[in-house]
Amino acid sequence: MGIDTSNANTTIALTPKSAPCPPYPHVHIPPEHIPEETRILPNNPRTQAMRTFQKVTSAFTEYPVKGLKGDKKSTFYEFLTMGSVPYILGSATFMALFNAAPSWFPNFNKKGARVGGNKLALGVLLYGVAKSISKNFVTKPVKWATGIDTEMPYEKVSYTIPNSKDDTPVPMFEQHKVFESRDFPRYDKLYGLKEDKPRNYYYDKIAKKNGLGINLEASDAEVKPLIKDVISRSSTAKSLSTYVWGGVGVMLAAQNSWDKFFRALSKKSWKRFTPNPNENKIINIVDRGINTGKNLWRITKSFGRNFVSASKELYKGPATEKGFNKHAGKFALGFAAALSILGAANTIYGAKTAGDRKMVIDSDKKVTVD
Amino acid sequence: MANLIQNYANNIGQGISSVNNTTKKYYNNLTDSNSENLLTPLDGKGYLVENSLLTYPKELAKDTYYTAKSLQRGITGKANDHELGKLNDLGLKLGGLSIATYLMTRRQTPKQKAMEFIGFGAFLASMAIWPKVALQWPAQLVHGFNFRKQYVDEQGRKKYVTQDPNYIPFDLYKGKRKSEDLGHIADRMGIDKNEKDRNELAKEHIRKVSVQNNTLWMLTAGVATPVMTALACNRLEKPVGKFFEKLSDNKVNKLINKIENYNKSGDKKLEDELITTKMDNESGKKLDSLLKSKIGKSVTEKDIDAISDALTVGLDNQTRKAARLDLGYMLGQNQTVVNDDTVNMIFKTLTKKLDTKYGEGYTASIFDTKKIAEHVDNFMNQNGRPANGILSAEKSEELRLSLGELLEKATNENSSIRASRKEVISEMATDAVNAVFEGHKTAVLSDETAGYISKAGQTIRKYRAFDETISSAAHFKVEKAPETLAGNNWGEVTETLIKELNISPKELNEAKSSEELTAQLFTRKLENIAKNENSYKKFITNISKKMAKLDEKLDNVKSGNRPAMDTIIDSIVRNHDNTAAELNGITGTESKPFFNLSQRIAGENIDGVFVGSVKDAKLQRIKTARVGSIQNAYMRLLHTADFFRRAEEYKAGNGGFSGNAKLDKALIEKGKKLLMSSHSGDFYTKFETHNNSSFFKGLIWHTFLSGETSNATKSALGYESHEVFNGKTTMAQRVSKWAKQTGNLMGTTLNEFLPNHIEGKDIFPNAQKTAVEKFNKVACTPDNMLYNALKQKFNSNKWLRMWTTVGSIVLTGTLLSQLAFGKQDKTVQTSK
Repeated sequence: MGIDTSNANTTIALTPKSAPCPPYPHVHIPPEHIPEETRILPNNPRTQAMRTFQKVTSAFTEYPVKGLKGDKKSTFYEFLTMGSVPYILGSATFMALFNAAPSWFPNFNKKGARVGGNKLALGVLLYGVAKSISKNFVTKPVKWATGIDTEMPYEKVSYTIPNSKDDTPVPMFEQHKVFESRDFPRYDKLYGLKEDKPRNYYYDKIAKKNGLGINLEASDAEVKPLIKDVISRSSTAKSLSTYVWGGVGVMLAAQNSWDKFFRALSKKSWKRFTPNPNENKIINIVDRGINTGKNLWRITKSFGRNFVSASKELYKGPATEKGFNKHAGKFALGFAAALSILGAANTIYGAKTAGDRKMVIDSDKKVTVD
Repeated sequence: MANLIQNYANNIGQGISSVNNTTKKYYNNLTDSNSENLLTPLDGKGYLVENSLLTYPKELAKDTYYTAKSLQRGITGKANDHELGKLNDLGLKLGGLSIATYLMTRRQTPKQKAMEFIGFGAFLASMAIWPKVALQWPAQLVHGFNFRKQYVDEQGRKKYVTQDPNYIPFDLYKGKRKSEDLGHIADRMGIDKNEKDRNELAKEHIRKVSVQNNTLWMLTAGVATPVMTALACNRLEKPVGKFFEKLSDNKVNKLINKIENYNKSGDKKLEDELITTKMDNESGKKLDSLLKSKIGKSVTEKDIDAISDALTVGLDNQTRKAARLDLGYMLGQNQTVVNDDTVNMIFKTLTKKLDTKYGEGYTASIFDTKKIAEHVDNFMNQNGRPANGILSAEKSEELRLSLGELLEKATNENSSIRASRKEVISEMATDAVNAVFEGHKTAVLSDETAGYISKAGQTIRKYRAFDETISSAAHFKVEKAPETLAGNNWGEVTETLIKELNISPKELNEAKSSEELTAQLFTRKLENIAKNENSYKKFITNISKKMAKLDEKLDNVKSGNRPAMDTIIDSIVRNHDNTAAELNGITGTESKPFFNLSQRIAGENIDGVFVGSVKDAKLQRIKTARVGSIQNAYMRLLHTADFFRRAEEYKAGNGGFSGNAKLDKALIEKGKKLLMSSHSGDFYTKFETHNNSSFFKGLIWHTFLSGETSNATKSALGYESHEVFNGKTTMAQRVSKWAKQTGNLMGTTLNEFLPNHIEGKDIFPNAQKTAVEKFNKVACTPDNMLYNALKQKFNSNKWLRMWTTVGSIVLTGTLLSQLAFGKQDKTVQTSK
């Protein structure tokens, strides 16, 4: 990576063995050149998958090792990223809590306990899925209406300070979002986004889209407060709505329609493959693969079918109930949808009316220096 | 001028020198304890938060206000990152409450509903408690500082001091309290007093231990929080259940008191509360509008079905059938519809017959449709053109006959027809008229009939409303459903049984596999208990006390009011009888048009007993099927224990069986098995003693009919008396009564005990020896009672043990980790 470490001292310990004390002399000479590798990433499923993979694997491996050692280079980012550990382990534990014991239950008690357990486990899964997907109910409309992709990802690359002279600096990757912080959005990353376009291209675009005007002298200065407003409002909308959508996922899993899916998922329903003794091994392997595929397709179809009927069941409510008990599913769906819609609308409203609010900076004067 | 410049330069130099001196002094004195005379910046507004139980309410209120303000600022686009973080926590709670509220609507009992919220609360509490108990306190104990200490920064944002290891606000540790004094913390950490830079060492130690603990928190919370939540819910279920049982019982007893008062006084206000406000007005509207649309019109069978359905909404099928039967009689098809279609149909029918026989166009050549239509029209005019063309039975007969004559006349007057053929044609014409008139017969809903039905509808709706009120009370008391008094009592009795039998985990594990193994274990345990009078008495006392609770709770004995179950039973009788009387009171041209319906509701009086009615079914459901079968099972258990005790007393030389040692051994062995495990089927097969009727008789005598009860049993059961439905009966009397009744019922020496069978010279009436009665009396066998309870216990123990182990491992590992945390880097050298 082109980092010169020849000037690095042998230790960064609290008090170097030979150093006078106190005060400590500044023994580290920073590397002469740190390349800027931090970059904005395209917001697409591939990036999301890559980022999730990197965050989750680091959260389960590298960061805990550093953290448990009390490493000097442990960071707040690592602590926050490790937040996915209790989320994932917690989900797995909840599933296990509902499902682990029935294996030892007497025969007649097993089935009932398992069906209940399966539903609760599905609830945990659908909670996560619904929570994750529902974020888009706010972010997508906001992006279409304001041009601001609040989920815009960037990868921060930094290099650790070497521990010793012989240390090789290790690049550290952090997966962030340009607008994850309302206090400190990465405005710097939005300058010169496109090589063949003006430096303020992104800000010009957002200003134009949100009615702040075109050909502004300092579109960045105009747009920055608007961005803060959008972050604040959209983040509020996401926080309030996604958990309720997660709840809708749990409610969906509580419907009786899933019983059929669990039957389709059971071992008994798995059509077993019997190798044909008259065929050679390769054909049998291929046939086994086809059989597995057919079974998986059957299960997938069953999931789809029952997802639809469970949704209807949730919406309609039990035929035997009346009043709130009957319509609780409708209310929950309506509440979640209302939070997303109102949250997105409030964010868009904030962006569209940003120009009406009193600006501290006179938009006719150029205030930034290229 | 030169002087001036010189002076100025000197002054500047002095100034610089003065600053240099101060700075030098400041740095030189950094490690001095006395720095009071130094220049210091103004104190910041940030401060460390001192959390304690005393400050908790204030801090909670502040935090709540902060979150509310954050929401307002978030909506208006002003919230900062910290505030947005608070909104994330708010979202988590909102989502959790949504789930709990929805799942609550799917639960049936107050306890189950409450548990949804308690579960969510336990989850939030576990999230907060785990880091405190498993990490914060142990870390504080071992390392001398609170790594989860909070501070409020300059902007009023409350944060954890060590959440970001690179920005720990050590400047806030100003030493106001011991917990904020780095020197004190260094003491607790065991840092040498002679270390020149103790504070820096303490800071590094704080940073390191905090990073380690924060990491461990993230690694353990995922397992610990759900496990803690589940275990907490598991532990809370029982007290919550008791709380809600008490709450519901009070509520139901109040309701029963109101019912009792209403029965006595007929108070209008109470009637409104208990009946009128609960009436199904929607079905009333539906019935009345249906009747209104059909008044004066012909009604088909389908129409009668629809009226019947609207009249009997919410009633059982048998009762609906009875109502349909009454409506069928009321709306008999004795009138005829006459309209344009009548003439067309007659002509069509004739044409089909005559043209087929004599060639096409034959009918038209003989009969003139217009004349027939004219005849019908004249007849209708003469009779005042009845609405919808509906003619009474007499008038339609008149018209039918006159039409027959008209057609006969037209045939006879036609000279082109041969005489022999005239006869055939006349006959065919009459047949056609008859067929069409038969097809046009209809029932008509008169004003009077509609009035009957509407009134009956009102009576039935009132009946249903009161029945619903009574049933809601009865349901909580006796039904086979979660969290009812009867269900809870069964649970308590079986739990006490397991406890009193002192079953070890190993025995539990084995016995849960089959009912047979449970029977063996139960027999062994009971034999041991019965050997010792004191342990036997303790066993019987503890179990029977729990059993007696059922009677006390059902009747709400402690209130001193009239027994609650008596009120329920009376109210059921009154409601059904009053309804039947009201239905029979609906009368006019027709006498008792709802005779079948009323009889179905209150019963047909056969020799003074109302049988086969809804009333009887409801009464028997409560008295016999629910309370009776539970009590029978309890009595069987006590009687079984008594038999075991009597066997022990006999072995010890007291009491007696047949006097023949060999026979007695067999009687005791078989008797124990019989009482412990025998179902109705075993009585039917006489316990495989078919070829030895005298042994069977002896067996039944000694197990059921001898009337013997051990003194130990009598004294353990006590002399307190209260039996639901029967008042002042002691437990010992009840056990004895059950044994006699069961012996008489089941212990016949004949094979047949179906209704109306003959035993000796007597015909046994239906009621006493029905299969259901037999089933109820034999009740749940003691081994089956224990087996089901053991399975339940095993399942819950298994689950509890498994997750307690997981929780304990995680907790122990977390606690022990503190000992490994904070170890100093050996490459670090400190100076003294």
